[in-house]
Amino acid sequence: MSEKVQQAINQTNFTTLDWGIVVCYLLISVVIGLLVKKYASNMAAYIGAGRGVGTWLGIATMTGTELGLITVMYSAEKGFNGGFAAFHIAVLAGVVTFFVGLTGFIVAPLRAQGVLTIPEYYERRYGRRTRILGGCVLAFGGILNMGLFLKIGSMFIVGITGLSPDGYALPLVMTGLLSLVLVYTVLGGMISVIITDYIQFVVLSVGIVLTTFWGIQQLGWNNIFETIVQEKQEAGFNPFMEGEFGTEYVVWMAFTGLIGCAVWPTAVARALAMESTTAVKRQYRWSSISFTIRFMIPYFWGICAFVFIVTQAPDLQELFFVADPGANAKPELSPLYALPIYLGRLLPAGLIGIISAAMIAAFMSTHDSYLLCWSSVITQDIIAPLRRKPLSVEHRVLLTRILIVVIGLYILAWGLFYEGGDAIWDYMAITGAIYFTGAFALLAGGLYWNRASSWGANAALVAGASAIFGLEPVRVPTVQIVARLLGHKMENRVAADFFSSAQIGIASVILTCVVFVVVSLMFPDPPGANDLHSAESPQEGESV
Amino acid sequence: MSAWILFWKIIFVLTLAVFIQMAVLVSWFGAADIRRLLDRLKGDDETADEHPSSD
Repeated sequence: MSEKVQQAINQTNFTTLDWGIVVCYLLISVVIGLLVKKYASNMAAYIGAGRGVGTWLGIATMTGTELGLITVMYSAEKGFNGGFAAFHIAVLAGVVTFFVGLTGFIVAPLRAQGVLTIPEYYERRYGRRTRILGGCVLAFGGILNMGLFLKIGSMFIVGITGLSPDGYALPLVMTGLLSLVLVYTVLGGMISVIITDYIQFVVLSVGIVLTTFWGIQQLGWNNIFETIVQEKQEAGFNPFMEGEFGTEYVVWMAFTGLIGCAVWPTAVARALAMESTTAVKRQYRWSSISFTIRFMIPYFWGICAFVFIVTQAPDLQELFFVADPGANAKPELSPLYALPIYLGRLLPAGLIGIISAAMIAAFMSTHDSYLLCWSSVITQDIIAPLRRKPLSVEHRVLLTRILIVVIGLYILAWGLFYEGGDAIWDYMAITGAIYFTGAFALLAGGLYWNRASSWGANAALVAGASAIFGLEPVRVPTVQIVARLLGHKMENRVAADFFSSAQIGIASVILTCVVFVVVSLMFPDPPGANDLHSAESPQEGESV
Repeated sequence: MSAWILFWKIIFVLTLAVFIQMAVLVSWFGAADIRRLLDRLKGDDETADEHPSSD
């Protein structure tokens, strides 16, 4: 790393006072997590908080989970690169969440079934094999999806505090943050997750509002818009213009917005922990605001970082922008560092501490929920159904705790070694699609279409995994191999741009739905099979 | 382009205003929900202690 980069990162207003605020906040979170440990006495309490979460707490925990530091970072990256046009993702996410809140699409009938996890529903509707296969696909896609959370979150901490991005600082921050999350997630389960999510919601809300108003006050409301007009022209506002986005991208975002609230397991886990289907719908209607804000505010911060660099920080321009965009050169600093460096320079001491605590809150609330979600899926939906002898409650809780630690170690290793070229949001969307393309077909088909069959479900789960071809390290060699077979030689950059991840994602969704319908019609379940699956699967409470 | 600029300005201001109101409501009523949840879980534990499972 060059001296210029080091100097740029060192110019932060982060002081000892800010470290004090951050450390105090972390201690409070961990202590509360430990205090509520005594309530996690059984599996229903450990992974579903005893299904006793009220609407307001449900909204807080949904927001705490879905507004992670990773969300802030990848959204800021989108805002930095795409300008106000990126707002379309936030608006679409809010509109589809409100639609789910009005209709109860997928989540209300799922909650009415009384299941704890999505694969548990697969077993009731399609049989045990589908549950295990669905659990495997879900765990694979989900764990891959959270693979970069830790690294990106730690990049924020390194960037805002002025620590050196080289050497041991990044791995040390990663290890420290991970250890904290592991301690209270392993011990307290969903109850401590929900209560700490609430505290994190309060801290986050204060941090979001203060930082947004401070940014507007420092940069000037009109100046922000004028700079984007000057630097990005219409592409900075119109999402349908080709460039950073385009029509296909907007369609893909509408679908991922629907998935993010109605099919994504961590969001659905909140719905399944609610006390009634009415509470679920109300939770979604209110959460539509959070689902909008969780993208829109970080986009705005990314835009502010862009405006700050262009108008007030000439020393940063050569680090974040290349002189000749056509030369295929990469800027010295990743756009991911733009937000933390901007906040570190713009906010005064004290306020940086609060926003850092809020961001660490966001980091922890996402990690704890995701760790708990994937580990409980592996325990409840893969290992337990595969065993002939039922697993005792104590063994399930123990196994879930061990898996939380194992997944934590994996994300530490993945964050250190993965080198992909996709924007982080596109990485997230495509790894998530490995799971959600199949899950969408199975849930929507199972809940609303009588002729959906087990064969169709299993085939759709396999077809959904085709989304992995959208990931750059898989997409590029695949395109190059096909090109070579056709007698062409293709450079890496050309192969990467041949298909966008959005195009592959949309193709994967269409393929999966077609496979699901066709195979279900070709191989229908025998009459009465659904009743048999329901009778064979554990009923509410039994599986826990 | 000016239509897009105006549109995003309105959307941003509206969303932020609604979020502030929601944050106040959720912070206030969420605390009551936590008390209810803990009381309920405590009650469940006491019931389980009084009526231990047969297995």
